[in-house]
Amino acid sequence: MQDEFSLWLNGNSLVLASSALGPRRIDDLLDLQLLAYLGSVGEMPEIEEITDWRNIYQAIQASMGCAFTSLYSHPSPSSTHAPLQPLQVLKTGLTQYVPRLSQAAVSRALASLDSLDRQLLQPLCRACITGCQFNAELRLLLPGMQIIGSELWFGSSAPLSCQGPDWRVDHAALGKTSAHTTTYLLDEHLFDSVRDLVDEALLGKREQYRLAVKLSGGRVNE
Amino acid sequence: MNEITSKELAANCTLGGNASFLATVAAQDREDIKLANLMVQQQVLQAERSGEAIHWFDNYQLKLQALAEPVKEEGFDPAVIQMLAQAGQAGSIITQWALQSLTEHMQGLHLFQSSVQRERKRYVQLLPCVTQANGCIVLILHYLDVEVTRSRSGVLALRTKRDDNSLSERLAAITFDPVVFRDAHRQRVFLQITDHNRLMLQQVKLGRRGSPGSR
Repeated sequence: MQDEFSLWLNGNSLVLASSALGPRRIDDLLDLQLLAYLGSVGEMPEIEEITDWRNIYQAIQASMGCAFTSLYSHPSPSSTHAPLQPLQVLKTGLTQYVPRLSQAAVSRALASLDSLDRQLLQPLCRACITGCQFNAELRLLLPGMQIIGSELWFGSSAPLSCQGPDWRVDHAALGKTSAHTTTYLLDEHLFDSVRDLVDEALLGKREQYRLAVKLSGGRVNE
Repeated sequence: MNEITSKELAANCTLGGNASFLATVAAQDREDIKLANLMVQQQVLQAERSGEAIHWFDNYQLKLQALAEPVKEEGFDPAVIQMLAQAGQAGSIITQWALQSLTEHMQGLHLFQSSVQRERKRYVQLLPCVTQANGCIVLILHYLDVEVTRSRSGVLALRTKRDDNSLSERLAAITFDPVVFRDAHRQRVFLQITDHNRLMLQQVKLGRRGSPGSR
């Protein structure tokens, strides 16, 4: 898988980027997500209704050329009494919308996430957790500027802390829970037309909110 | 000629509406229609927000018509006329198409177009696009007022709305000539969308959170 995807921590998103996109377009798509995330946090620092937050998140991406989207809500992951496994929920939300041609490679990439070092995920957790709330995304960047974002939001009765890939949240502690998948198609020309504004807004932010991840046995992202 | 299978559905969640295309609509034409539709939706939403009295559908039709061709002498293909005539009737092609589109987006409907919702009332704008025998593309504007309710189990339910004062469903058809659009409108449309997007982005204020890059 390491030849096919690179892995990034980007804002509150764990991003798998197809190497077929090329470095420039991967940067574009990472910037798109990061600006949407930081903009949403700026507009709505405290999330009361996740639907409102997602509307802002999608609207900002629309302003950068992601005008055409498809939305899919999933049954509440907390509807059973089993513990909630955030990474597994995120992966499930992603896999069912992956185009058939990419499924095998994506499956291998997703499988590798289970063995990510717990310490490595700590920075991502810090971006995803605010007190008793968790808001994260697993995002896939595919050739053709296709984006699939699997999002999970939940509240907890107790403050949350950073965990590893096998993190389980006890059902009894769970509050509101929402899982959602959005597929986007980015218009390159529309994105290029706002590139200067994106650069201006993210000045100094990429270093702060983006981290390339080395996969065991794989290549190191630059 | 027009099978409901093999269509592309391009939904625009932030502006409320989706365009769907039969396989006979060429890829470049689809892109042009999406672009035209995007600009029109941006403008109509802006008018709605600024309190203009004109109904969403009328404004949408007016603005999209300005980017399209006047109806040609030969008019619409019989199949299209039939689709329009049967609209709203159970089992009609256009109604099936609309319902299929809605069903595909049912689960995401609570996000769909909430920016202009009033209480539980929302609307859905569908734009099925059909290529005629003469090569022109017919854009079928299909508007539905809907009410969204949530059952105890959390499942969304949807029904079209009807009351004495407003239509629950509106329908119109206009012809779209991609060549004319590319020659006369495309560049201006792209620039207007870009201007709109830049304005939106300039208003975004970034927040702060614990971050992956900070150690």
